Amino acid sequence: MNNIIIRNIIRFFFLLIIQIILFNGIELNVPEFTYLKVFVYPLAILLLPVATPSIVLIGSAFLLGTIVDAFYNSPGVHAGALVFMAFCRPYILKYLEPQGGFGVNALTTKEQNGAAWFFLFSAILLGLHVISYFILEIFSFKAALDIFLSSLCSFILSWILILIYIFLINPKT
Amino acid sequence: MQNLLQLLFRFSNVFIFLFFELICIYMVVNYNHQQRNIFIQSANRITGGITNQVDKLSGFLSLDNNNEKLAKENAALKKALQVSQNQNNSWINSDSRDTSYNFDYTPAKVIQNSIKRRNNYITINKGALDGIQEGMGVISRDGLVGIVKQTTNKFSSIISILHSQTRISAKLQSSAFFGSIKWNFKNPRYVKLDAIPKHAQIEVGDTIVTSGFSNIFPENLVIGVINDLSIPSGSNFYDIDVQLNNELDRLSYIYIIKNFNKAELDSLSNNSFDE
Repeated sequence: MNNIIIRNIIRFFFLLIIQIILFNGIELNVPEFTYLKVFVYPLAILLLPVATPSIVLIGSAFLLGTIVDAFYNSPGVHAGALVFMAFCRPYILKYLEPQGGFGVNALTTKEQNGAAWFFLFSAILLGLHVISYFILEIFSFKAALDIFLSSLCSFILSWILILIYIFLINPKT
Repeated sequence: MQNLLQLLFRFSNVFIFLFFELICIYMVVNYNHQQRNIFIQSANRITGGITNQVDKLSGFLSLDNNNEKLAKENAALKKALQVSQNQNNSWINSDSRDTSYNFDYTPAKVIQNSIKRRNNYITINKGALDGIQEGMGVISRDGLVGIVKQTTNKFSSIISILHSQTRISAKLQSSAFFGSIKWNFKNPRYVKLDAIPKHAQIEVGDTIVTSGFSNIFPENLVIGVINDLSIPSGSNFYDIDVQLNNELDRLSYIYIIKNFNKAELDSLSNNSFDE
């Protein structure tokens, strides 16, 4: 149990460092798509154990989002989107619950639930995160097309990177 | 009472969510609408320090490119120096005081830059100890960059031209019609120029320069050239797309402009508004 907590804390900081050092500086120079963004840090919240209490789940999402915001000069935007994603996570888990339910120490890894399950799980939550991020950032429904295009492109790119991380490192806990 | 507690316990995750989400939305809204924002965080000590270290490394990797640029700039300056030495320096004695001598330039290095958001900021490695103050203009070798928003002792934040609230006074070099430029939110190389009346004779390729009305930038700095223009039906003004002369996505060294007469000019215009 202690091992799981320590692993999650290490992953929290590892993903944070990747996000702020590697992806903060990347300038993807595609004309007309200057909003293309990469999100890898939501994975730290996705991989928390199933039985995580909601105060820890939402609290750590808030903390992680706020630190990312500090480096992106966008107070509240990353944090708000990540808190929303963390709030939705228990409902999505209930919807994706296997027959017989989750065990006491169940995890959300690919290892325990299979690749297809993890694809679906990560896609739904990452999608919610990316859409709420762009809604919060652009903050106006006049730019609905902007929100849609930015979300779609950023989602595909981030999802691929998250799956690469999962297949390369294949975390057991 | 017990029922109430049970209810609270049952929906505790909803309350926790609402608590944190409201904090976030408060921060977002506060930041967007309050002019004197306190949240330019990349300029504070911790994140500024880390970003500075990361930038030192990437700065080392692009040394060649920067050296080449600096050498070119040196050459251009030497040329300008020769030209001015050849002319007589009678301006010192002349009665008409040329406004271009009222500006001072401080060089600085960009340590963080963004072009992808709706509101973009730039962080530089000079601050209040180097004499940088809020409201000073910022240019690069090729054109405009933005306006200083906030300073700490060692770092400053700049509102880029690529920001939803930036308006910079500009004019046509050929005919002196003036308007203001703002970003079109799409491409970091293009901005829009508005308020040019439709009887002005302009065409694609005309040069846009600063007007010098704002007390922030000197007159006649090149901003860019007209890339596309049209008159929307029913409007008396042109719709003009300007291609920026400098490449904000490749910014490295910049100059901060200090106007020695700014306080005097500002107090003058404040007094005239009071009348």
